Amino acid sequence: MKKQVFLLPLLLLLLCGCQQAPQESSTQVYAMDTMMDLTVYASTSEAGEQALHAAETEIYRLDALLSRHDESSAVSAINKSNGTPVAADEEVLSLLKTSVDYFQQTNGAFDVTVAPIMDAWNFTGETPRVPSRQELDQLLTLVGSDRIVFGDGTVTLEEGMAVDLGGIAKGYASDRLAAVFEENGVDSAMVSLGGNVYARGTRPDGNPWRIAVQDPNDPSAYLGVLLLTDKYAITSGGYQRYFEQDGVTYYHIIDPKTGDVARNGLTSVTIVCDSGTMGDALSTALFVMGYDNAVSFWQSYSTDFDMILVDEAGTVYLTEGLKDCFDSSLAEHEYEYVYLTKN
Amino acid sequence: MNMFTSQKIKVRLRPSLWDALVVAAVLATAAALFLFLLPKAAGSGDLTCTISQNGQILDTIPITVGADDEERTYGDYVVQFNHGHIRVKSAPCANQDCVHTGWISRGGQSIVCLPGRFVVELSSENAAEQPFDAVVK
Repeated sequence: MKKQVFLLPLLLLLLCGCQQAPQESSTQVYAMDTMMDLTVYASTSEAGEQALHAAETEIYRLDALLSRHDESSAVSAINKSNGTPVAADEEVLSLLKTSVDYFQQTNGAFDVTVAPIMDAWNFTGETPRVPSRQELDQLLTLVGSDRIVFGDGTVTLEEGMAVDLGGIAKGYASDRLAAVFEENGVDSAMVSLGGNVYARGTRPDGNPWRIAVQDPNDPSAYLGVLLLTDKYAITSGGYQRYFEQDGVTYYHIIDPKTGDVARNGLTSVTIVCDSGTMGDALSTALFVMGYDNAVSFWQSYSTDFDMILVDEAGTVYLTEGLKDCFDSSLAEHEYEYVYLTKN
Repeated sequence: MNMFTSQKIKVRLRPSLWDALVVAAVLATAAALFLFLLPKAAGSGDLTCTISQNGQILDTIPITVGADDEERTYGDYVVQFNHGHIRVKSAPCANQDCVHTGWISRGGQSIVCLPGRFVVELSSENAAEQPFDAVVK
């Protein structure tokens, strides 16, 4: 009997040892005009590969649906409206309505109808250029999400108007990936859609995911590291996609009210929240707003979120919710960190 | 009546050959562990730079901090290696986003040229040693 009592814990130990550690599977996807890194941890590598395949399929589906540079996409069909109602895919209609909601909530700082102005700047093309004030003023007459008309399964844009869902599509895609992982039983995953991060669950070791926040003034350095579990982290900044002309830097974030590059004193805005769609829209909107309006918006917005603002002087402003999940020890430069409270 | 009876126990204090073998085994294990862990503690020596295009790996280069300044050409791309730091020095793309990214030097960092699907990635041999899992940018 004594021997059996002694053997029981040993047997349990052996059984515990038989439990397999989560298997890592990863892939890279080129879609939505960016490179995406997806890593999942599943009970078996087959389950991980299956989840990644489903995720890739979903990304390509959304790219084909939402790209305005794909002539056959649902968004391209809407952009050919020219004043007549266009029957639209239910999912696209829903995302478009969500975009209009953010337009209203941000007092026009987020506006998907800036497409004609983005075309004039041609940031992603072979020959980016600085449009004249006169040209921008003319194009501004085509901007305003409040002028999108929704019907019963249809959407109408005035002649010359166009929408670009690029400011919200990647965030929406990360929300969809969360659903795909849920369906495939994946509880732990790290997704970066061109720098839009979705941290699902925890790391396989049970600790929070470690998300470095890029320094807008030195792209090879970091402001610090966010320790996140089941969160989305999305940044808007002018330091990656830009061009220079006559010694002036022009980056791709446009103020929908002026048509010009948004220069309101911030160099980057990072949103940390529970929705990729919201994070994507708000990161752009708050960058356009500038520091004062961004802080007021954060203080009064109906849904809780956290943010990191960096201004032109290099000061890093963090909201109080990040106090326990921001590690500045990895920062290569010395920064002034200021915590914002809602009081 | 005394409940306890005294016993003479003979204790041999002189180490035997078996004791020496146990000590030798412990020392050998400690030395092996030390040698195994030493390069990891040094840290920067186990970074690897992977250069790929269209998902195909073009080059895999172990990165050492003391490495000399070197440039490598991959088609129309020139990648510069300088004492553990790597950058895309020149690229054929119009937007030059990859060149704008500047230098990278830590595991988990990457430079991407989207039009050319050209990627420069730094990774640590041991993923747990990477200071972060992703970069929000």
